[in-house]
Amino acid sequence: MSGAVALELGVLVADAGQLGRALDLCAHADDAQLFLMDDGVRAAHEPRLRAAIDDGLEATLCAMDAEARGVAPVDGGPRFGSQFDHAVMVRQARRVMAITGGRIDDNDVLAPPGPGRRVALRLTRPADDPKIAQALRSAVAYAACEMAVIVVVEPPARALLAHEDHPAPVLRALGTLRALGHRFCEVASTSTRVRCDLEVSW
Amino acid sequence: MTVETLDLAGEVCPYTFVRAKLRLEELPLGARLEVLVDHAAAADNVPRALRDEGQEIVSVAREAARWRIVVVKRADPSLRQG
Repeated sequence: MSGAVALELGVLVADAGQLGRALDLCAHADDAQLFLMDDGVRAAHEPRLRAAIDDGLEATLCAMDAEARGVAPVDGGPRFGSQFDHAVMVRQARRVMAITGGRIDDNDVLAPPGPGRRVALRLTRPADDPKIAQALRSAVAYAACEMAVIVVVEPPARALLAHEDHPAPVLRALGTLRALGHRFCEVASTSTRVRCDLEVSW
Repeated sequence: MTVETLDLAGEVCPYTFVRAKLRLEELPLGARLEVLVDHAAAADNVPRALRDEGQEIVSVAREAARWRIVVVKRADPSLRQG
């Protein structure tokens, strides 16, 4: 597995309204990647994004989320990729920013690029919020790229582990992560930290 | 040589490459796996994911409404924790 090539900055955007902020961050890095998913794919045709791509930014979006939202490929726009691209970005970047529509995470990752990184996926919303399903789907991709996932359930998401009455995509992701041996951790407070190399909050 | 087929028709990302990697885990080095997908994005993404893993992609061929990805196992995936 490729693990040697480091990336300076990887930015996850799941909120189209935060594209400008993400592009500002990328503009200050020599080697940056942007991954758009969930509602972030609605920014795919933004002229600012196309200008950044013209200037050398590597931008990819989740093809499945784009299809679900009627976002079509466009010449000069972001590449239509998958959660695999997202996970590789998180696995390889020395700095990982996660902008998913709530808390923003800015991680300077000390662990070397490659498999084995420990990612805390912090769930900050009610369990029935559609972004929880998206978060868990991305966590499955992290697991597939051989990172160690710790699903951190904050108080608003507590129902996630309290019962099994969840939509099929959520149950499938939970089942997959459990079957692969990844951890779940319920915390009493949003400020409770867990041991990890980086955090991605949803 | 062992030849296995994994039909992923109807499967969505990221479970396409998760299931392909899990199947490869069970096979011996040198085994040949034929993965069938029916989503254009998967025909691109699954081979990239497996190549990144160190597997050999022999071919990706379109067959009517699906794609056949032929892989030879060259590395041992390790998806399970602990």
